[in-house]
Amino acid sequence: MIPSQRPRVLLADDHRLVAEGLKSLLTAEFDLVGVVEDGLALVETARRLGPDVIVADISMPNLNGIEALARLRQDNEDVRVVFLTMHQEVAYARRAIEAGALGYVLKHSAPSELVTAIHAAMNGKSYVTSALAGDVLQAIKRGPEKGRSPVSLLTPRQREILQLLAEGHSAKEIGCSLSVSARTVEFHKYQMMEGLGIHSNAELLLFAVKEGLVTI
Amino acid sequence: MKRGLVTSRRLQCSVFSLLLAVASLGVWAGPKRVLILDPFGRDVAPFAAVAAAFRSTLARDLAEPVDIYDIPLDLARFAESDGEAPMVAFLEGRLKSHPVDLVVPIGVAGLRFAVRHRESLFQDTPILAVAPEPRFVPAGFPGNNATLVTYKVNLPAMVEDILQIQPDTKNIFVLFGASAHEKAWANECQREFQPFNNRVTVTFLNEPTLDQTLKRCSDLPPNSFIMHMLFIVDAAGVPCERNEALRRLHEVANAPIFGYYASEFGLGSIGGRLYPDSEIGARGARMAIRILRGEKAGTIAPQILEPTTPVFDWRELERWGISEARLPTGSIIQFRQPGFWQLYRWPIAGTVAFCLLQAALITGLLVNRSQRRQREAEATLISDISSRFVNLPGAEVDREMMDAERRICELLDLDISVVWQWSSGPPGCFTLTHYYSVKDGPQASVQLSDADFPWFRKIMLEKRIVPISSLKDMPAEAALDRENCQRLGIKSNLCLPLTLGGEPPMGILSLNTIRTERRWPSALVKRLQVVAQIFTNALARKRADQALRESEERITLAAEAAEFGVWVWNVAQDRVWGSDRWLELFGYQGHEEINFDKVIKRIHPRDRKGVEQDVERALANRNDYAGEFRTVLPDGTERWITSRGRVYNGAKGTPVRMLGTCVDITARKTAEDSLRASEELSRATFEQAAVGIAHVSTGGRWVKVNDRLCSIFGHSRDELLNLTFEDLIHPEDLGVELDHVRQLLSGQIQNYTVESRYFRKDGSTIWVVHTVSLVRSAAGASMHLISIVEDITQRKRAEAALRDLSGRLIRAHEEERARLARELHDDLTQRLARLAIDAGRVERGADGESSAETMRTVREGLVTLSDDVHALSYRLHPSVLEDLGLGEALKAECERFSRQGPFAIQVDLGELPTSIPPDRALCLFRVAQEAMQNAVRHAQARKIDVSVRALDGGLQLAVQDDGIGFDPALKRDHRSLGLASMRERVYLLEGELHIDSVPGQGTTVLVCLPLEGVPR
Repeated sequence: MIPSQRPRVLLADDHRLVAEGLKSLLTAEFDLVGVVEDGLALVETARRLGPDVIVADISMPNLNGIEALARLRQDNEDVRVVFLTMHQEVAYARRAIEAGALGYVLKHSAPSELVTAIHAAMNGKSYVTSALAGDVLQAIKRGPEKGRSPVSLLTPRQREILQLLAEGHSAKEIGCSLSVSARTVEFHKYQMMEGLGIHSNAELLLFAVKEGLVTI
Repeated sequence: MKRGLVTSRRLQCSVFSLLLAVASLGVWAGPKRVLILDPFGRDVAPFAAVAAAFRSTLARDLAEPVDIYDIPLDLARFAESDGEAPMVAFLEGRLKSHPVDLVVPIGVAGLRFAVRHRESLFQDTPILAVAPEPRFVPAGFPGNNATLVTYKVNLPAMVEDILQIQPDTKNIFVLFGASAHEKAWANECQREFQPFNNRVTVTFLNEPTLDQTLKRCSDLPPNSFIMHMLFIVDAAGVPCERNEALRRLHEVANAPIFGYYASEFGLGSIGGRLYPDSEIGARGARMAIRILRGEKAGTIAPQILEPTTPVFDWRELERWGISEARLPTGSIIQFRQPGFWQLYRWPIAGTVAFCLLQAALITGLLVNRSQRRQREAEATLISDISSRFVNLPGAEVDREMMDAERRICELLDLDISVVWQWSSGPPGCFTLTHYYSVKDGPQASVQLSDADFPWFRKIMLEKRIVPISSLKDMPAEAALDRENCQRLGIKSNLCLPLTLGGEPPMGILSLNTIRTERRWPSALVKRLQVVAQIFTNALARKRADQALRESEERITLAAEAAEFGVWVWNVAQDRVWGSDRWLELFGYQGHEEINFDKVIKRIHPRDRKGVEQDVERALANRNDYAGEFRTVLPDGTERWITSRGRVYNGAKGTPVRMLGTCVDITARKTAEDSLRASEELSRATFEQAAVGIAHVSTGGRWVKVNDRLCSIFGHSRDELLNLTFEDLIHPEDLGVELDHVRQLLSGQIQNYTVESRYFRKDGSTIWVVHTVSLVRSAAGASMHLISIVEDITQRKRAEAALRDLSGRLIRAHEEERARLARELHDDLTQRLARLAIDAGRVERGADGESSAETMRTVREGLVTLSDDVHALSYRLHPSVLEDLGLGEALKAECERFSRQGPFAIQVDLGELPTSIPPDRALCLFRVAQEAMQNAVRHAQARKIDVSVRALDGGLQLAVQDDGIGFDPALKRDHRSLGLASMRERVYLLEGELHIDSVPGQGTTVLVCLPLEGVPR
């Protein structure tokens, strides 16, 4: 292991103008080993050069930054990537962090945050641009989306449909009598079952009986 | 090459025809096959009744052909293991060539057989056990591909019932046959009857033969009861025909018989809680139908029928003196008394016979009348000879004749003139009918036996005229006649036969003198012959008149009974007589004078002329009259009348009267009118309809087509009638139509409407809306299809053009937005970023505080500008859709909406496919966006749920809100809510959009989008 004086950085951005601007920003503190302009080139070059940190845009031709990161992580779990992007949506940032990125910096904040983010990445720490940090943290804390929370109460429409179902009408008949499509009826039924944690028609019928929607 | 094409087309056609023929039978894969394992053969109760009910119910209710193999296993005669091998081998062969869809063992014996050989015979076939006694069902049955339906026998209850209805019963004799199955049952009985041992003695009869059993039963001790259970084979192994055995037992037994099977009830058993054998069979059949229609046998819960209600035979209760009060509560008593029909069978049959007789009588009289008419015509013709007797009414004949006699006598100086007649009195007698004596005047009638005047009788019958001036002139053979004449004081006599044509004389005109003898010159005789002839005619006419009048009276009576009105018009006197019914039909009261004019006035003005002409023509041509006309009654009601009449001619051939009948046909006329109107309407509808209409046979052949249909297809009527609809339909649309036709014929649907492509004669393709309905006869058999064809080719083209246009518009719009968004994002924001980066760098390297401050302001301005441009770009086209997929895009969109106000927006993403085509993702995204916008902007929703999940190889998006909703029927809302654009987007991708909204109850927008498929 040769201790390097300056971290080696690979830059991936298809916008030459921005890339040019970043070059001067990065070369001040880092060893810029290469600049690529699309996702595939990023994967290929990163494998070849093995930079310490990759600074990449998300929206890029051929392969976007997040997908490129996924491929790189197949070779090397610990690849360090800082995303530098125009996208201010939390979705991007969360997805980037979930994909294993260490940094998420907005382009126009680059002068003040990019260097910090790269250093943090060098140390294996995460850095999310201050504008989004709170939201991303919350989003990640919530974890991946789970199934919807059970609906405690049925809507009037659902009660109506449940009653008709329990009385033995088909979705088609119910659709006709409520002037909606059979598909809509099926959807309401599915939603009720899901919401109530019910898995069969029989249980649904039982529920309707218990609720007093029908008498048998 | 061309020939090959033609051949393949023909082949195709014949395949279609075949398919259609098959479709019309409602069969695609051949009939269902069901194997019934009948343990003891067809004649053994209760299994026979179970199997019969099963077979008939299945055949009736399945609504498709079913092939039922009924295999009698004959297990009673063979021990279970050794006798079965040939049967198993037979079944093996049979099932190999004809596999079955369901095996139905009957009874426990059948079930055991099925279970023993299931593996080798029908391992994977579902089994439905019918009527196996629950206590004998083998362990492990039914398992997962079988089920059963049965009834649980309650043995103690039988003894309890016997003891209840006949408390002093001391002995119960139980009858069982000798097969293994029956022995098993006998053992069960022995065991379960144990608790009653202290009350009754139970004896199991096991005499070697049926005859011996019967003998035994004829001589049972008092207070006995017979329990007739199973009797399949006797101890000698001879099978017993069940009903026969019960019948004989009932004949000889000196104790009541407790029978057990519902199917045998009424044959001599007293009744009780009957084993519902037919009901089990029927229930079994219904279960079988469920299995044959695809339900898994293992998922159908086994059924055990409820205990039955006790039923008793009234005749047996009477016979054995059992009080109804003793029967268990709720018992039903049958055969109590003969029904209405049995009681009144003979009166009803008598009435029917009477009606038939009356009809025959009317027919006979009508024939009779025509014969009389002939006779009357002859009589009136002859009567014309004498002016005095012309048109003389019958009633006046006698008077006129006697007057004539008087004048003859006065003129000729005769003493007595007598008319004798043969036919009007007892046989063998002359009856004096007209008498004139100068001395005494007219006299009452006298009867003389022709045996007293044999010679006179002889010459009169020979129609000879022998004037007798003196009795001495009479020949020797007339001795008896002479003697009798002397006794009467006759001096001279002239007898003239009253003879008509070749007939025997009807009588004699006898002219006599008693004071003196006189001569009879031949000229006088000739003149008197004319008188005799006149008399003959008059008498004949009188008789004919009488006969006719009697005949008319009878006709009138019969006619009135048949609701006919009878009328007689005396033409000469212009008087009309009508029967009561006729008076009623013409609205006359009582006995007013009626003439032809009055009758005509009652006829509808528009029919009058016709009736007058018809009557005139009938009179002129002496023809029969027939006509239909309306009468207008004084109260204004109108009636339709049909009338028939006949002209009766007088002596000179001039019409003297008409006789006829009238019938009220108003009801028929009204029905005819409405029928004609409705027929004309349907014909006009059919012929002049602006759509093509055809009657199509169930075989697909055009039976009747209208002009419009011909022009739609470009074929002539004759060409069309020689084609079938599948000759013209586009092959790709054939399947759908055939499927519908099959459902029509099987009664699943009443009609259907599809859009299909057809070929015109010139080879071009047309789009039609095809609506087909099935016309059934009253009996429910299908007759023909009514097919309505509307050419929608133009509409389709316009629609396609429109869809293409709106598709291109939406695409162009989206492409332009995406291009603009990319431009903004890839160029403008990047350039701004570059400026911001540069400004930042300068800011950090700035010398003075103030220039650093300036640069910071510049940089912050650039950042804000960049943010705004980015947001603009995002609104134009969400790049996140391509970058991170639909799920993330929706989440981002929901977050964006959440920031606009206090809405609780939940996103629920199911397992989505990894790659969703961009057009579909964009479509769902835009619909969701639009729906959320509506919820927030218009519906004042507080809570929105967005969900996407994979469904049926496609995607389902649902956006639900709790807002104020709207009425989907109002078009205005559709436009303002951008529903049209949602619908258009979804439709372009062959998806479905459903909007369910009720004012006050929120809105659900539901989109189902296939993942595959080319845009329409």
